[in-house]
Parts: sequence; C-alpha cells; structure tokens
Amino acid sequence: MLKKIFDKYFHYWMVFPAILLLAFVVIYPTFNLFYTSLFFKNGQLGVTRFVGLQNYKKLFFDTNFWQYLGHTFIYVGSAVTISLILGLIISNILNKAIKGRSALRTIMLLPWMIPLVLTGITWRWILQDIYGAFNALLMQLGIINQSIAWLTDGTTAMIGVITADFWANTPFVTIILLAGMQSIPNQLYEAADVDGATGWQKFYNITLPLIKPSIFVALVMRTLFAIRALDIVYALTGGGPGESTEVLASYIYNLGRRWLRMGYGSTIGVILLLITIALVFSFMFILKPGSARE
Amino acid sequence: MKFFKNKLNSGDNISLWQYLFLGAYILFSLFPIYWIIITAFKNPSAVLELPVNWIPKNPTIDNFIYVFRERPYLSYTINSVVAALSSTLLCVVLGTPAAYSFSRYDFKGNKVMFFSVLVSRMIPPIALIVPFYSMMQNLGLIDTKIALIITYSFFNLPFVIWVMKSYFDEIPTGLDEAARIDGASKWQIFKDVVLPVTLPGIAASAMLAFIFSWNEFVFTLVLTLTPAAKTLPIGLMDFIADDFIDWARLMAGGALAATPAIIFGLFFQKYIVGGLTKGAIKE
Repeated sequence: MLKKIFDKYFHYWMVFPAILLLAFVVIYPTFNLFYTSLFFKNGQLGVTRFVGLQNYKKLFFDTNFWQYLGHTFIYVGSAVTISLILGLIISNILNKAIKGRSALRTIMLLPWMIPLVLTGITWRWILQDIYGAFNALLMQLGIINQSIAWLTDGTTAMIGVITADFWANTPFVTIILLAGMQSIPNQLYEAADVDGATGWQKFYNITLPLIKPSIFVALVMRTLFAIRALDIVYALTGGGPGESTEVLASYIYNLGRRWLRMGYGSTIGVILLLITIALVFSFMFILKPGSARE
Repeated sequence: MKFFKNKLNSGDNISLWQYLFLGAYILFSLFPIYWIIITAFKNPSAVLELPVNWIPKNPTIDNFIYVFRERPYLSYTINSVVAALSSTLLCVVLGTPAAYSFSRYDFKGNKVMFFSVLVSRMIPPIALIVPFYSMMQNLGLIDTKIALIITYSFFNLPFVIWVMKSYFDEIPTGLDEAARIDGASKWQIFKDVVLPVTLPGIAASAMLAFIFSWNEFVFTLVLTLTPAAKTLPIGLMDFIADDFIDWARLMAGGALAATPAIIFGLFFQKYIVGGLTKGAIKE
C-alpha cells in the first residue's frame, strides 16, 4: 500500500526535499528582503519601526548611493566588456588547430578557480608601491624610475580593481564561447573556404552569428558575477582611497553588517536585485539569444 | 563528448600575432599565481628586499608552519573542508533526484518550479545578507558551520539541479522504458538504470559545488566571527587588518586557499569544463 502511494507520487517525492530547502534559503530570504526594506531597522539602536516606502524616498537624496551606483556601472561595464573581447580573441585562437589545447585550458582556468578574495589580495600585493611586483617590473624594464602608489589614486585604484576582476573572470567567458564555437559544424567553414573567404570574414560571418547564444550566456553570467562582487573590492582597496572604489555591493555590506542599518541596507539590496533583473531583460531584448538557433 | 574534440575547426592556422597574443595572455594569467607561490616560499624579511627576487633565494616552508602554529589556519582549513564537503553532499543528494524528476516527469508545477530554480540564480547573494543574518541570529546559528552549510545551498542547490537536469535530458528515455517493461519500479529505474550512466555529471556538479563553497566569501564574512566557523578565504583578511601586512605568511595562507582550485584544475579539468558549459548553456 505504502509502496503504491510512493510510486504514484514518485515525481513529487523526488522534488519535495529540494524544494523545501530552496523555500528556506531562497524564497523566504527574498521575501524577507522586500519586507525588511519597508522598515527603519537599526541593530545598534535596537529600533524596528514600519516606515512604508520612506527608505526608497531616501534613496533619491542619498548622494553616496548615486556615487556608488556610478562606480558600479564603471566597474561592471569595463570589466565585462574587456572580458568579452579578450574571451572572444582567446577562444577563437584555442578553437584552431592548436597543440596542447587541453594544457592551455588548464592554465587558463586557474585564475577563475582560486577564491576571489585571494585574487583581490594578490593584486593588492602586486600593486603595492614599494615591494610590489608591478612597480618592480616597470622599473627593471626602465619604463619608470620611481615607484608609483597605484592604490592611493582613485583612478588607478579603480583600474586595479577592474584588472583583478577581468583577470579572474575572463576564463569563464572563454570556456563558454569556446564550447559555442566547437559546436559549429565544420562544413560551414569548408564551404566558406571554397568561396575564398578570409579568416576575418569567416569569423565575422560564420562564427560570430552562430555563437550568439553563447555570447548571451557569457554576457549575462559575467554581468551577474561582477555586479554582486564584494570580494575583490573588499580585499584590494576596501572601497578606498576615500570612497573612490565603493560600489553598491560594498555599500550593502557596510550598511547591513557593519553599521547594522538593516532596513536601509535591504532597500539597497532590493535596488541591486532590480538592476540585475533589468540588465538581464535588456540583454535578452538586445541580443534575442533564441534567434541563432535552428 | 563534443566539447573536447581536438579536430581542426575553423580551418585556419594560427598567425604569428595570435601566438604572441596567446603567449602574452598566458603570462598575464600565470604571473599572479607565480607571485603568490614565490612569496609564500620566501622568508618574511626577504619579501622586503629590493630589488625584488623573482626566484626565491632560500626557499622555506616556515610560513606554512607559522600559519598553522601561530594563527588559527588549522581551524580555518578544517572549517573550509567540513563546510564545503557537507554542502556539496547535501546539494547533490537533494538536487539529483529533483533534477531527474524535472527531466523525466511532466507533472503539475514542473515548469513553475524549474523556472524558479533558474530565477533564483539571478538573485545576488550580497542583496540577501540582512535576511540571512537575521534568520541565522533567530536560529542561534551565527558563527557555526551549520549556518554555512545551509546557506551555501542558496547557490549550490539551484546549480546542481540545473546541471544535472541537462545531463539527464541527454540520456535517451528508451533506457527507462526498457527497464519499466522489465518490471522495475520508478525508484529502481532512477537508482539502478539512469543514475549509473550520469556519474560523470554527478562528479562534475559535485566538484563545481565544492569549489563554489570553498571560495564563498560574502555569506561567510557576514555569518562568522571566530575561528570556530571562519573559513580560509575569510581567514586571509586577518592579515589585511594588521597594521603591517605580513605578505610572506599571507601568501602561504593564500596558497592553502588556492589548493583545491589547483588540484581540480590540473586533474579534473574535463569535468569542470563539462559541468560549467552544461550549467550555462542549456535551457
């Protein structure tokens, strides 16, 4: 009897435990986020008071928010663009008849697999002004004759953060694009050869349109990773110098965990979630990833 | 498997410029890792010598001994291993049956539930730090490994379900049919017929889930306070908080934190790449 019931609702039994856990770790916290954003909740003062949309109103006059939003767009925009361009070039090379592709892929993947906080720390050490590797290299090559304090200038610090980010995340883009390229049938290229197409023409007219779905996936995943990333900023600059590398992710961390301004921190969290969704939808709208599939 | 074919694909040979570009990129990729390793094996005072030694003069393992003896890196390492292994096990055990059900059965709520799994991968963990902190505080789980194991399933469980479903989708249903005609129960079909064929998929998703958990930073930073639960990546920040950063010993800690990445990358690259592309591309 029991066995029969088990067999009849088998598909639900299989899904049930996973969905239960997901409800606990995804659905509940997400609802809680929206709910908390409607409160003035301060852990230091021990106050929790319903304020409706007051926190959202406050956003408009919060100059920090707008400044960090700007930094976030600069960071995400540059890191994602550079990763995509580099990823396209490298995957296109690896897609050719190259010896030791497997070994190259292993080497290439390493930066992606180490913890991002270690990436941030390592680049902080590379860019360190006196004993760091970057200044040492530049000096030994005769490019500069005095060490430069890269991380005490707002602009170079941001460039450092972006570099660490695309160093770590370009491998992911490359792997996704390479998989897309390898699924293109060879006959297409052979036909193009018969017509006397150049390498660039083949790349532009065959490869690029056919890997559009992969480009879409790489773009979306890459943007999601960059917009949420706290690790690199936290470890490399701590938001500094001044506030020149503070992004929305670090703002949420400071508000929610360091200053215990939990209500307002949740409001910024909601905004970050909405920005993420808006970006994914606009990529879908612009790239129409389904259109390259048969 | 199509991702690993080694045939000539776009027909062209590689130009000199492309070789140079690839070479420069490989140098750029490897240099920071080389810098971690040489710093980790240098004497702490040798790190502060100019000009910089690109090859350590008297390589030493003292930094590794130091982080284990004088700093709580043994606890950090144990916490990292326990949290990552447990979360991986939990998510593979719960996620694989769910993925099978999503792949094979067309039941009420199938689409909605699977779609919500997809959407949950879009939620930035950083946005949820306040809810998770409050939740774990209410449960009295702040600064425990249990909090980490539960929290890591936020990203691991959707990932495992997603990847495993595309592995199951690739296995012909004829296999299930044949077993059913032979009188196997639904559970037996799953356990004895389909599951053994998807072992590479399970290996791939388990390895990636392990790496994601091992590298996790945001949740762990928020939910842990002491060596009772702090993991290696969080432990590295101890050094940054010091007035004077002890780079040699910090990089020894960093090398420890990078170990799984290096092991998985060198020996199981095929699984990692397979799982990654499956996790990303299929719809």
